[in-house]
Amino acid sequence: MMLRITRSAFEVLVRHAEKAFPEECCGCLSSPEAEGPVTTAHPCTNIQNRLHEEDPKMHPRTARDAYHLDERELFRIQQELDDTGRHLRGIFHSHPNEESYFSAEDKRRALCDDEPLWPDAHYLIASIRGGRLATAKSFTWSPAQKDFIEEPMEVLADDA
Amino acid sequence: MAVKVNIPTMLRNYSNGQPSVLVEGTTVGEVLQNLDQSCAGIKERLLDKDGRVRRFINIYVDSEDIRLLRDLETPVASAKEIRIMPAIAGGRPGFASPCAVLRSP
Ligand SMILES: [Zn+2]
Repeated sequence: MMLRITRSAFEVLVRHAEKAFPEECCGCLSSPEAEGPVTTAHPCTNIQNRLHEEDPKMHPRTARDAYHLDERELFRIQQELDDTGRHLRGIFHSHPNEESYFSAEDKRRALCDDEPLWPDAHYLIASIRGGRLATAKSFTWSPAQKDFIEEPMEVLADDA
Repeated sequence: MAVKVNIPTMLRNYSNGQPSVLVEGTTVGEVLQNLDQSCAGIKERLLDKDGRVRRFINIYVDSEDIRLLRDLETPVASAKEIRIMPAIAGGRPGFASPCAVLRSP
């Protein structure tokens, strides 16, 4: 697989990630076509701090070390996309002062019984250092390797 | 009695690309049991071996999470649609839990 994303959508997620720094941010990616380029980034709320406050034993991490996308927001985005015939294509989150790679915890939370929760998703991870984008990489599930692997990513000019 | 189950794009490998499928059933549990007929293999992704909804899977009847309703016993007769939404979460490496910090010298 390969992630193609428009420049404007990419900039929306980068701004969201830079604003959230030094905490992790998260959001969704969508497109008008089931297989075409991602044209919209939907910044979402990382509710990890709230989960941590409610139950620090169950959720020892805060938003500095983890993300949990607000399920209500995800539901509303999915509903709106379904109603307008668009497609949820991927998930983005940030790594503050950390490389952009699929961490062990990212993997643990993206799997259930060693199978991916979202088999066809693009997972874009943005590394933010000192409040600015350092690198961004995209990952996807490889059924052959039974792991999340890096996939090529292309940021497209908006008029393309 | 059939109800519409919306399949997110990222799960449509189970539904042969179909955005939604019509499934027979009177409760959410029955619908999920029957969902495998049109989406082979999806049931074991949604339910554990004891038939309970897996922890990272959220299922909505119209706009309500079934955990806030009657879970798998939730009736679907008057429902417009059912949605399946796996949770989205993760975390960065190098995290020391507070317990681990306390234990270290
Ligand atoms: Zn991560």
